[in-house]
Amino acid sequence: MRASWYAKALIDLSSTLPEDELVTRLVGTLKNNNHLHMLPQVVRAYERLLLRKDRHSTITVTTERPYEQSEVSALLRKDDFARALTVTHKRVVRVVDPTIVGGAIVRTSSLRVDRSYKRALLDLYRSLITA
Amino acid sequence: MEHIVEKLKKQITDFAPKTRSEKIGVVVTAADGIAEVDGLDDVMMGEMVLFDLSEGASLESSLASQELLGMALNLEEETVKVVILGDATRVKEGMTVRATGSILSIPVGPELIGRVVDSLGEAIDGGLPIVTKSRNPIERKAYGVIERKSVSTPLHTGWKAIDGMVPIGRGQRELIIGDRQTGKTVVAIDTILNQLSEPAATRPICIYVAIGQKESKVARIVEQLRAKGAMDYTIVVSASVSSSAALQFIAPYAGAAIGEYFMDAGKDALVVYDDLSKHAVAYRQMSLLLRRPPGREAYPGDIFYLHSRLLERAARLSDQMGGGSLTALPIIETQENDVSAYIPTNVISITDGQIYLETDLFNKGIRPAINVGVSVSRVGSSAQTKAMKKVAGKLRLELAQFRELEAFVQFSSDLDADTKMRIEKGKLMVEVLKQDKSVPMPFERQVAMIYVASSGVMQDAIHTKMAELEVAYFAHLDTQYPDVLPGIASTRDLSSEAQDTLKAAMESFKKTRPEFFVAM
Repeated sequence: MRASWYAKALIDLSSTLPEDELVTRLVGTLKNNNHLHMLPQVVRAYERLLLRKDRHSTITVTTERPYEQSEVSALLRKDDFARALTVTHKRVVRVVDPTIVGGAIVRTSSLRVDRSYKRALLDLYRSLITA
Repeated sequence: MEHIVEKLKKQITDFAPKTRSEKIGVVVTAADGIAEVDGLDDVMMGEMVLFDLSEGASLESSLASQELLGMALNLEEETVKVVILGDATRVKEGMTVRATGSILSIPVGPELIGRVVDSLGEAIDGGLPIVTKSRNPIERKAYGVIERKSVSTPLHTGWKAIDGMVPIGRGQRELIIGDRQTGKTVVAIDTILNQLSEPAATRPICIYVAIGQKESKVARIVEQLRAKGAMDYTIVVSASVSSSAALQFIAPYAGAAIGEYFMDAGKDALVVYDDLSKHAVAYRQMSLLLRRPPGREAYPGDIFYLHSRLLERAARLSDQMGGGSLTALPIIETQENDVSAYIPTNVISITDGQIYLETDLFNKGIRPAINVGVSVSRVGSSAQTKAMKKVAGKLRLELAQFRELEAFVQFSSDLDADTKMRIEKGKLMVEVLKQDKSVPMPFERQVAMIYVASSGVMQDAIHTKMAELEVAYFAHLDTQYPDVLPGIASTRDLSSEAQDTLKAAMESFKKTRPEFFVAM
């Protein structure tokens, strides 16, 4: 039995049962199955799955300077970026990273669209040294 | 200078930055050279992935840092397990990993000749970075039956015992097997050195792949090859014992990929895998870390498939495919002469024959320490020149008979004349076949020596002086009969005139150098 299986079941039940009851029932089930020693692993796996779920529904927009909401919305409407987005992406997180020099990076859990100047400069550098 | 500036100006002007849309994942855990990655949708088995070290780093440090590669090996339900090909300490939790969409490949081409590279084709000899025009995937399906033709051209090793009794053909896979310190690497290295005696047009490109060897040993081998001028046609791929298991694992595939480049170009290539026992150990380590179920001797179940698909890439291509060849000389180290262990039996069954080296023979001073009875080449005499076929046809049989009689003679002192003659001839042949390391012998000299020894004209030679006798006889031939050896080399045949000349040369040699023979 894997801790991740318990965690998956918890995630699925989290919308149907109140939190306190869910915890009580989980501990009871673990005790019944002689798996109480797995409780810390189950909690860790649950946290990891939550984080994963969060990542899957989040769009991260990285820019070199703080962008206004309207600027971000305009950016996400651009073709390159719009293709990366799906309806499951519900939350937009704005990140400021001056090291990207300019441009923007939009990333979801499994896709990244990189239009940063840093990437362009790195590509240029690599093409020069390998030519 | 101006030219370079102009070139750079053009490159910068023409450069169009592309918007990259790439499949990514995030490192969840990283330990023991293995990273577990969440994401990486649609990644392929064996796909090359890049750990994004530039994320959050300044442009300056991103430019200075080298790319860190990985190879996706376990595609699991929720995550992908990636082996890190390089410094695993640079990988951190939360780091972005991007898929490249292509199988791991390495740079290949003539630019690699004379260089020492790692498993990823990067120079490690202190020279300039290697820039090649093409890349080959490290893993590729071997050529099929239609694209191949049978092995018929010899690849001379320079060892009399091997070229005479266990001939190797171009495109063959011949295993070199034996305990530690029996001369396995020496056989392989001398084979590379011997290619110097081949005409440049037919000289194979040699690739020596060192897997899990000490850096000092690799450095010594490179130095030896360089000193003899063999690095002009040799490439060394080194994944030393201090390299990660992943790099040791891909090293032979890198060697095969480089060899295939030359084979596809219609040339001959020779690749030495030194050694596949250590390769199997590296793969076992990786598999256990990837939590794959262990099998016999804790090796994973697909270890046979791993070695068979590597060695199957050795081939001789048909004329329509360019006629190139890739010969493989894998090396296996046995423990206490146990050839029935898992990895030795696997590789014995995959290859087209084996050269079995024995500690006892080595300690007796018989070098190369080849056990003639167990060593075999399944390609056989079709990979021998006419000249060698003529002189060495019965050699194996005669030596096998000698070994039998040698055991028999210990019980009986009263032997008939024929048996005595056979024993004496056998003893002489054993001495003739002895050879020092680093002095590979061109095939025409091998033919001459084996011929005069087997024809009976030097039956009275003093066995303990055989090495000196050989040198002196060849000096005698070169000065007194200068046409005979080049004649054998060019025709690749031993005509009856050449046979008579060799015999006459030995008779005259006996008169001029009687100190090498027993006074009658």
